[in-house]
Amino acid sequence: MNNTIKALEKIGQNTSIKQHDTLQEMLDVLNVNAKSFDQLNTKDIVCIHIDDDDDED
Amino acid sequence: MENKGSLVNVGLGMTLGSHITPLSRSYIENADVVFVAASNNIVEQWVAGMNDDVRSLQEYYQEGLPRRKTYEKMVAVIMDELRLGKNVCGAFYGHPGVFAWAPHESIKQAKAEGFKAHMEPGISAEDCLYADLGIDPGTCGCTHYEASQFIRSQKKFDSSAYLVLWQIGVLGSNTSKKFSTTQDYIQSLVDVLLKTYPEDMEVTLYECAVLPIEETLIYKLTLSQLAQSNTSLKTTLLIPPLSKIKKID
Repeated sequence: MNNTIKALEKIGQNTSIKQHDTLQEMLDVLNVNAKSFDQLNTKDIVCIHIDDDDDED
Repeated sequence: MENKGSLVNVGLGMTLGSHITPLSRSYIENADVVFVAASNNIVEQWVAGMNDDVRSLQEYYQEGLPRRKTYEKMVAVIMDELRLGKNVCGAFYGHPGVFAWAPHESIKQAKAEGFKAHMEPGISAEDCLYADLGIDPGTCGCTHYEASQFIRSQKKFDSSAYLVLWQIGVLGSNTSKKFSTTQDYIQSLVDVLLKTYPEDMEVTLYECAVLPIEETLIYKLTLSQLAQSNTSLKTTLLIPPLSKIKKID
């Protein structure tokens, strides 16, 4: 697993941004450099459920 | 007699690293082949790091292609591997049984052909919504609809309960075959809602965080402002109860 994604996973397993006022505050507490995530090409991809018109129930 | 090979469809939860259950992770790690349908390419890469044979189902989503064809192709590739006697795992965004035809259908087909098949739940967007918006469906009830279906079917609903409309960011996609919506489609939803709710009703747009370094989106606005709002594939609309339930003494 890519080290940056491993770091993300570790953050997800151990803390929540909801505990903090800002993302930067969370990263500071975790001693994580925000720039380490710059290389991530994050984008939403399609994962939806849509009925076709002829799927009327 | 049961055939060799098995299928388990698991949920990844909504937020990378935070929501996946130990059991679901174990199924992913130990499967012969994993098919993944996630909401973000980083999530797909994360799952790819758990098993040497992870295949994305993303390629089957194509604008212009009838959705049913997309879902049937997903089921077909899962069934092909199962028929080879492999232990197959489907890893789906959120909960594999919520707003997801392919996981249910693949399990149904697998069982019909004599394979062991089951589903393991995941933390869904609905679960996150209750936590992030601080509402409890037990207080006055809660109704959920897929937004396009809500308009098309002119669903009757109880306005004294919460109303949650999912996928408003792709409203009308069943007709347009695109993965987005337009102001006109949103306005048609507003027009339906205005038959029940006042224009100045405060509603909430909600998007769950997908990465642990993202903030949850909670945006309050009035019903009349809804058509001018920005929405995405992940946007959900929450409408609070119009009136409190009358207590029976």
